Amino acid sequence: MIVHVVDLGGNTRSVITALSRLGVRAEVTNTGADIETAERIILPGQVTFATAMRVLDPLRGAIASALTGGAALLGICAGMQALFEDSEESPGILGLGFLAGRVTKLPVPHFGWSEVHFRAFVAGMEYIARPMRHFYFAHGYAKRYEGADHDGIETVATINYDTGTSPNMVAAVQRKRISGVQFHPEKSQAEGLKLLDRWVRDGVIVNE
Amino acid sequence: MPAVRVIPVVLYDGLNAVKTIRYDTRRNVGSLLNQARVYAARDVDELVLIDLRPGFASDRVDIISRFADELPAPLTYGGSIRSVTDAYRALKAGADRVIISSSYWQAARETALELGSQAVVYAIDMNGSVQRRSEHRNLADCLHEAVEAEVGEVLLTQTQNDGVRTGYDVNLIAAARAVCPNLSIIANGGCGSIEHAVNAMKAGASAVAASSVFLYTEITPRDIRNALGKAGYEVRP
Repeated sequence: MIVHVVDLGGNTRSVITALSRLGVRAEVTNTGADIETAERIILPGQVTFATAMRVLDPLRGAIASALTGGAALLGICAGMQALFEDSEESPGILGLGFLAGRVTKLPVPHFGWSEVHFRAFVAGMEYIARPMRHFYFAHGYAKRYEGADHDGIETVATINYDTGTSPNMVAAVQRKRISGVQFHPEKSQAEGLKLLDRWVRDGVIVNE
Repeated sequence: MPAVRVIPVVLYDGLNAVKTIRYDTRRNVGSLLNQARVYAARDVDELVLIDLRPGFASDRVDIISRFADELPAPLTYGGSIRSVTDAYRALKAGADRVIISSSYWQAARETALELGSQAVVYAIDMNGSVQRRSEHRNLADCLHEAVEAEVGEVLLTQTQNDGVRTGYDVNLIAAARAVCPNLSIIANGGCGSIEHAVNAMKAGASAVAASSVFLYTEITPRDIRNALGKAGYEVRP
């Protein structure tokens, strides 16, 4: 299995290094032909929404073909944000639109290790050992979580960002073979590597 | 709120990892990459790497990459970052954020705009109650500039306490907190015990950075984290 990492202009190196730690071969590519036939595609972060979409816009068709063929897609940080319709960060620029909704600006940038709450109904998180784990975040924009009733985007994990007790920011999403994490698993020590390992093996971060 | 971070600082002189005393006398403390490996194994929250050599030397990018490759945790890099271009090169090499000195406000401002606030740590080095190297400027001047530059965080160092392990300058931390209630502040300089870290947090720090205490005592970052947890702060387990 080769993981194809799309170079969005940010720090692809950390993702490649994390994968090599897991013994997984990774290739950096921005070529439609590679992506069309890929089995695992990662969109890493550390870039603005506009920068990510400049690279991803010409690859829409290739990504869609890969997904039709059974590939799994994982967006990390800005890579996850690109899965949505658009972002306040780059008005007028269309995202990939796999997930409904808009990414909005945070009052203050979110930096550091926050406790991620995986939703109770989600099975298969045993490998994380506990339903709550700290993962490393670094972002100024986010998809707000508006509650399970308004959630049309298959949120599988949230954090309590600027409230003490209620979930209000999306930390991870998954719709079939499309997954996204707002945090950086490649920089989240052992737990992050476990999550990446799980995704590489099964193409999902949690069981469906 | 994110968990409180305990951040070891690693200094590099071009050959070895070193430790300074009051930003001056240097002692060799071994191989650079070995330090990265030890801290990686100790499950640190974040690591700061500072390259002490003057100028953004061409092999710096390589040093950042080799260091970052050892570390499945966030890396903050400092050392002669004077422009957005320098910052971009450091991030591309594997750093997650850069430290920019308060002597280079323009670079801090532009980097925060271009690469995002969370990518910039603004270093304020104090010598007593005045800024080191610019004695006409005080703490409040530097902090107002940090806010104006929209940097993500401030690394506040009392250079007189560097390497002496007598405790953080809690008055300085409290003064900074009073000026900027909402700014994220990493306390640095002087940590020699677990209590020192707890005191820095009580004085208003958002995170604690330290070096000597991890090199010359048996205390580990996790020991400090555990103590902060017991004192009621959210930390990684």
